[in-house]
Amino acid sequence: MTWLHVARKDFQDAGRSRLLWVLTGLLVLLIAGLSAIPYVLASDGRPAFENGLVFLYSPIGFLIPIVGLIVGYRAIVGERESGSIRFLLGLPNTRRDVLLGKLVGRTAVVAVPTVIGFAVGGLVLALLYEGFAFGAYLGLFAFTVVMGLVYVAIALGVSASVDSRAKALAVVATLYVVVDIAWSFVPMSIYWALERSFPGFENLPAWYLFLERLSPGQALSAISLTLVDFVGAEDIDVTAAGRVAGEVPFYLENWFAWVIVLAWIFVPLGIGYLRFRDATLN
Amino acid sequence: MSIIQTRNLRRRFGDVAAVDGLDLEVQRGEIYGFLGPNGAGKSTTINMLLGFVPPTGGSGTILDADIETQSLQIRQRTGVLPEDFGVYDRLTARKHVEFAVDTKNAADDPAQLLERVGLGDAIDRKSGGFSTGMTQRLALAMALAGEPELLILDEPSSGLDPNGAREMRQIVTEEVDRGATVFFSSHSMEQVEAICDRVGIMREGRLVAEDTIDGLKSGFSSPSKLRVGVDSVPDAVLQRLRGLESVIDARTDSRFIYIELEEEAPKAPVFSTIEDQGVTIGEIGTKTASLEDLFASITTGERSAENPVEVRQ
Repeated sequence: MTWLHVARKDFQDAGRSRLLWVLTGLLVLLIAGLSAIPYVLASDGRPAFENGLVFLYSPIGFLIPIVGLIVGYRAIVGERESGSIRFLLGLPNTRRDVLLGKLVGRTAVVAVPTVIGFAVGGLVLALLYEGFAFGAYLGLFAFTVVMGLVYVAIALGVSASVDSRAKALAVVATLYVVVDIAWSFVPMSIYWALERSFPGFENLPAWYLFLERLSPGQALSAISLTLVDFVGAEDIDVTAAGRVAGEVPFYLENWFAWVIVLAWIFVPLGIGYLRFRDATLN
Repeated sequence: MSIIQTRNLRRRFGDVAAVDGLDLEVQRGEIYGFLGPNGAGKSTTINMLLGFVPPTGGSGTILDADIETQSLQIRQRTGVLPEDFGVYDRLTARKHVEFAVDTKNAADDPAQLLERVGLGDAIDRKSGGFSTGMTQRLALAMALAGEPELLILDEPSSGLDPNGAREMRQIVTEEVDRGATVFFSSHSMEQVEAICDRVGIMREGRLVAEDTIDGLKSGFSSPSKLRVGVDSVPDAVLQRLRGLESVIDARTDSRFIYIELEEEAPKAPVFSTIEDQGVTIGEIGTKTASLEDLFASITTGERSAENPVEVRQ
């Protein structure tokens, strides 16, 4: 059980890199800066806090995945290339300790700037908006950390699976494009192949929405609704349940998205662990 | 009691047998020198001992724990100075040693360990700026954490100047006095002869010799070499010399005659044979086999005398 030492060392190491400081700066700017936009645009006094919160959501959803992937993809393969893995594994650490320690350490690298960003952003929001909702803000913070964890886990799984940084980068970038950016084309293409027409927004078959939701980005948006009370979310039902034709199957309910999110944490890590466990380190 | 024991240990990489049936036995409290030229299989052996690379055949135990299934247990009681390691550039020397001490669940003072390896003035410097010798010292400090029962040092002197190599040997001796066993690899005989109780020599994946230094020396029949300065080389002289019973070979470059003699053969018949041809003998040089010759002979399979003759006066 030496993963804690690995995590601490990893965080100290990564924390001394410029990366952490750039991330912190970026997140503070993002949270404090972007959330101020509704205030700036509002002409009639202080706008409601919820507006600021909605404004925050999109940039977080865009930035955190990239941050998580960048922070994670070198975690293990980088040590294999530099040779410092010989220290890690020459000391009494199992390969599982290394993987777990790296997961905790790198997640902290994403989480610590997030905490700072949310603390500074919270001050700005409280000053500029009417009715600071601490619960919703905490929910968005928790969501951001979970999101960071998911993408760190995906990148770490890749990092543990391959033997060069270049390969890790290639796999991570491909995964990001295929399962996140371009994923909606997959159900759309299948739909088109079956129906010879394009899907609309509503009255969609359950399989279509489920396939769409398998992407980590989609599953995360679904769980965000379980963590944060966004204004307007109930007016237009953007959830899968609101778009399905007929009965809502359980796997399209928002709570089930947690299962998909957990799978995106544990499946990449599991594959990474098995490949790393059996890797010969020359 | 043996600390390291391997039985028919093997590792193949594709068609290449990097380690091919290795039987090692290292006793408690000894300093064992693991020798061989680069590519002989030393690093692969150490990688198997540490669990970095699984064997493709045979078995091994360290401190009575299986190298494949109980690697963690082994590494808890072993200090490792790996080969081709990299440091964490952004972490200080102290952080490195702290990590080793914490992971070993030990109570050592990192500063003290760093003092001991001669890095006392670099304790709080980031290791990214260290020279090769300094990183080698840092790795040794990490290996010493937790007073391990066994030290596995892979090419510990590489990157060290002669002074550093001497300090390294000093520390190894201190560790053995404390009760540790030391297993260390080297591609140079010179570095091990001063301190090793026993050496094993690898060649092409096999242990081709294993003995004390003295035992190796005495078991090695080495021809001695003579270099005789001459004013002329009559045609018949080489023929005559080769005709002598104790002479293995004779050659000339017209200034010198180089003679390879059976071990401890008398030299007088050689000189008289040369002088009988009306040649005046100038300076005479002799050379007996050095440890490096011995090593070269064992690891290349060639008689060292076939290498260009270099004569020490």
